[in-house]
Amino acid sequence: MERIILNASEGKILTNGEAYGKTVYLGVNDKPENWYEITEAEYEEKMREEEALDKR
Amino acid sequence: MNMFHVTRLPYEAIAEVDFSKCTDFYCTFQYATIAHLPSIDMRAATRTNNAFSYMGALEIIDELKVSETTPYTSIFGSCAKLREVRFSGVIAQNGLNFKDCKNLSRASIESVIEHLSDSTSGLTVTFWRDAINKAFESGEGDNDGDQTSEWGELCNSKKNWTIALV
Repeated sequence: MERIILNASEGKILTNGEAYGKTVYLGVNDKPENWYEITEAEYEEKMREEEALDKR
Repeated sequence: MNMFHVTRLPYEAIAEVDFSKCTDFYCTFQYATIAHLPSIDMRAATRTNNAFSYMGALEIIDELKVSETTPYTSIFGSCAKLREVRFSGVIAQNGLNFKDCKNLSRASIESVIEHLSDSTSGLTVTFWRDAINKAFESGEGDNDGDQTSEWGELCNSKKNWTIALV
């Protein structure tokens, strides 16, 4: 079985709610519908939130 | 826990410490200005949050001994200089994330993937895409690693894992 490879649109990042990627090589039991796009600005905001949690 | 947290003494390396019975690696080395860590035994770990995060000087971890139960929550956050790490044991928990490790070597990337469990499903490992592009580039400066057959073959050796490049 070939891997499904997802590529984010320009200016977007793919996420499944936990992980993030511009390119995502789906595991055989993962599905494209588990992943959706957010903007790079939304991604940066999410990273800032996680960083703030890490620094507490 | 917090053993070397915010160690700002000018250590380049530390001697090997027996962590084999350590279950809590919470912030163990966070912010420590250590460039080279010896073998770290995380096989008994039940919590690893920020174990190595914000180690701005960290370049080398000789060995990370892990088990199928070792968790990986934010352990390498902001480890921008980390280039060499070798795993032993089986990586079988979610959240292993090298998005901030912009200089990770090919041997280190291969070590991570080689030690991913063959039997789990629904788990994701994350790398910085430019680190992959550099480590697997077809010629010096080509920066095309994620398009090469070597990278493709390595990815396909663990089809049960989702691999994200950010």
